Amino acid sequence: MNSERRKELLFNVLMNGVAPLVAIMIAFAIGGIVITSLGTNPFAFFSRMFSLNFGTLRGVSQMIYRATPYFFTAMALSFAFKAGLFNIGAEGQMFIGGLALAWVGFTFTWLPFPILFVLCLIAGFLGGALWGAIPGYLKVKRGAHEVITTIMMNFIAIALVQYLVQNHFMNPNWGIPHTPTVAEGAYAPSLDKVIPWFPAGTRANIMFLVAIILAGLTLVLLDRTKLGYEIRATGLNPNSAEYAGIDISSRTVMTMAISGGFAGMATANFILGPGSHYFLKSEYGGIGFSGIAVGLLGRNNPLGIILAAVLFGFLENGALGVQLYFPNVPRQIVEIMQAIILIVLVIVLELARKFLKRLQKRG
Amino acid sequence: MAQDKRSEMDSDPLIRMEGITKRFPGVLANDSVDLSIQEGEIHALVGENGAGKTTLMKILYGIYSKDGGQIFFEDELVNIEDPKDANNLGIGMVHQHFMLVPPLSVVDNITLGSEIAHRGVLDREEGKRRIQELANDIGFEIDPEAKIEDLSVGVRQRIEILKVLFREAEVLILDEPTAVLTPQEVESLYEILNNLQEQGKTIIFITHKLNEVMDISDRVTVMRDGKEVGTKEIEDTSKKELANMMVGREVLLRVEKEEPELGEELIRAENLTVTNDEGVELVSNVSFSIREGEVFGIAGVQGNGQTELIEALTGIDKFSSGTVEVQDSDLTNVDGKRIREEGVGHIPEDRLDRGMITDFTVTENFVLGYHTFERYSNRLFMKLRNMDKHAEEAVEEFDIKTPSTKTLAESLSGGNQQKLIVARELSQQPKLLIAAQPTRGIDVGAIEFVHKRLMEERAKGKGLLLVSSELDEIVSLSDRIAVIYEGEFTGMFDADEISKEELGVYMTGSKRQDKEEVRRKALGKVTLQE
Ligand SMILES: Nc1ncnc2c1ncn2[C@@H]1O[C@H](COP(=O)(O)OP(=O)(O)OP(=O)(O)O)[C@@H](O)[C@H]1O
Ligand SMILES: [Mg+2]
Repeated sequence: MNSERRKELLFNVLMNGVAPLVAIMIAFAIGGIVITSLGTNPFAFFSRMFSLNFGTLRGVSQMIYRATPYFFTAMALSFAFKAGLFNIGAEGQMFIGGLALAWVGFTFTWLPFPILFVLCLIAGFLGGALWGAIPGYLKVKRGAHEVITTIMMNFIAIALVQYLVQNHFMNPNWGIPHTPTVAEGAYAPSLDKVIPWFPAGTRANIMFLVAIILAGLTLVLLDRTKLGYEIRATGLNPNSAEYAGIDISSRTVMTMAISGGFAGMATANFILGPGSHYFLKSEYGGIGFSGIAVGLLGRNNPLGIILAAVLFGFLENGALGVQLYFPNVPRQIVEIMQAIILIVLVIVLELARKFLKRLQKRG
Repeated sequence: MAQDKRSEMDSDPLIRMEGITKRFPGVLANDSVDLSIQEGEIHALVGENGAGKTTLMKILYGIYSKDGGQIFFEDELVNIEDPKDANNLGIGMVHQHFMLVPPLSVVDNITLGSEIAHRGVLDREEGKRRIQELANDIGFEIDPEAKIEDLSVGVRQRIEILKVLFREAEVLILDEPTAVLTPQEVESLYEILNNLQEQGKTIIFITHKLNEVMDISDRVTVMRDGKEVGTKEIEDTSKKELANMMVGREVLLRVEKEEPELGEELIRAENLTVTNDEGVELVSNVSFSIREGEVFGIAGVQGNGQTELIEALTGIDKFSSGTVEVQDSDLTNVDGKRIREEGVGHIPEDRLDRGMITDFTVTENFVLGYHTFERYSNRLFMKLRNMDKHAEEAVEEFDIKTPSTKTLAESLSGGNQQKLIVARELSQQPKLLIAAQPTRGIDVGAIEFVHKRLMEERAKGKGLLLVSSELDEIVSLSDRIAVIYEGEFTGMFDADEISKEELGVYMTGSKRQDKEEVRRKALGKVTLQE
């Protein structure tokens, strides 16, 4: 029995610890090779990146700022996943939610903080939830697979948001299409307001804490509530859930809605946090898709997702800063590395699984 | 047959498993098990639920690795790492849960993974030809282009057997092959097995039905608690001895039933009809009534509407017409939650696809369907402590073998999964229990216990609607028996006025009673043995 325990521990360590780490290391190695080929010393490059992120509290704070939206979109993926659904539509849900929360912020401008702030978050959640619920509904009513429909909904969202901003919300004199700014009552306080030792003047804001709280609530929801029980039952075995008198249609739609709601709040970090305070579509592209990678890298576990999101924040924040020092390395190097992490992770997980199987065979 | 084989029995065995040991977290599933299989024999493997039969066979087939012991094939030490190695030795296995791809055709399912190709081009015709040949050899016809989803359970099983033969297996392992079959299908399976034996194949099969062991096997090995407790020549043993060896005590192979004490009417169902999407009537105009303290049995060959009737009664499906009243509440086409709240429990016939969620823990499965009841949740939260407490009591009472209530149901043995479902439904004290194949896959000792419990409930004035393909079970538990044929009740009997043979005649549709009379008797207007 002891040896079985040990095997189980080994399994967890390998799949949830070693595999992601190896994937990350290989991504850095390949990134390093690319950087070398561009005539730059990769060690200098990465150590500069490291010190930009971790050298000062300011750096840490910026990194957290960049990590926060990934946290939301990854939670969207992982929540749906726990209920047996693949939500590939975080990108679209994020846009719709983002525009919804910005709209509340620049429309109900007379409302004070924190009322307006909270209303914005709710609007973001509902916007994303609506966009997530539609594929859920199509699955239930028409049997359309959510992978296909969520992807299609992404395109619709992108076009819709573009249209609304350009034709309804934008002042034509502005060069770049964006919405009006949200009122002060909607501003998300920066982190130094709540954590005294945090440096002032960075853009990290309480959306990071909101994400952590939501992750915790999600765990409680799934493991301890009646709704969570029904959501999991529906995801794991719809036939048995039906037998148990669970309304599987409503549970499927609800799961997709909650999942979409998480994605819908992702841009609050940018819009409500310190900065320009308006919805600027071009700034958020890809965060929804990267959420898939972050969710997988975090192994669908809240702590893992925080770490994975922070890694993505690290890369992105580092890429922005490091350009000053190494102008010949394009900042897209980071996107390449993010992609490599995902590809290598899938391979490493498969290898780890094979290795463990072999080990089990030997007994 | 057994006699012809006698001389060979004394020769070296084809397969020798020695000291096989296998541990799972918290369980010693196989504890130094020895098993030897002679070439050309039919060898039965019996034992209580969780005794380790499936595990032992999965080790022989390379699905599980062993923690200790050795396997010899034709006296040579072999290392079976995965099913491919087993296939190479000519060992094939038919699992209890079929592993066919429903939307694909018979040929595609059988050739999947061992396609015949000429210079890289798939030779489907050759595959079809060989399949037909194999089928003819063991005595049945098959349409290679039929889709699996359109075939009955019995036929699907033959396809699983063909799949194994297609890979040129000489040794066939069958895990509880008859659990899901109707008596007629069991007969044809026997024939197939006998034909295979005549061709020189070796067969190992797991079963809980001692009749089958006596009927077709040459030798039988009994397992208990992960250990092998003995191997017998079939002519040197009896059902009674085997049952005692399995359970370690005397087992009653008959149910003790007291005279019924009927009370109020519990359920009254009139003119029930279920129609499928194409408008075909699967259940036609069925009426019945069950009173407190009464067991109402429905006998029928699987696929004659009993599943549809039960699923509509329990809120999974809907009736297109008719009414169901449970005492004074109208329960026609209400959802499963409401039905349970009214005190109607349901043991579904398919434990994995209806009755439980294998990725849930024992405790979570224990409240499935009752999770909204006040004892297990309030408006928002589950009452985890209460759930656990009740689950633990049930595990104790029903002797469900599991390391803990936090274990995933997936790792329970098939029979223990079934016991968990039975335990759940009985523990909730329903006033009416609708039970389909309640003892499917459970061992003789546990069957005795479940039957006893059902009879206790009956004595307490509870009602039972029983559907079973086990005629013995129907006849020994029921007070009244309805025969269902092509969606209709075609016969209605007092349990003591009809024999199994006669029931069989009605079940195949060769005979039927007058419609009005059946209806009247089913509704209990002519009161039977009051
Ligand atoms: N995959 C698994 N993981 C953990 N435990 C397992 C697993 N498979 C089987 N077990 C445990 O090993 C024991 C033996 O199980 P096995 O399935 O071999 O029993 P069995 O004799 O086939 O019983 P049944 O008649 O109920 O099918 C059981 O106690 C079961 O809980
Ligand atoms: Mg078994």
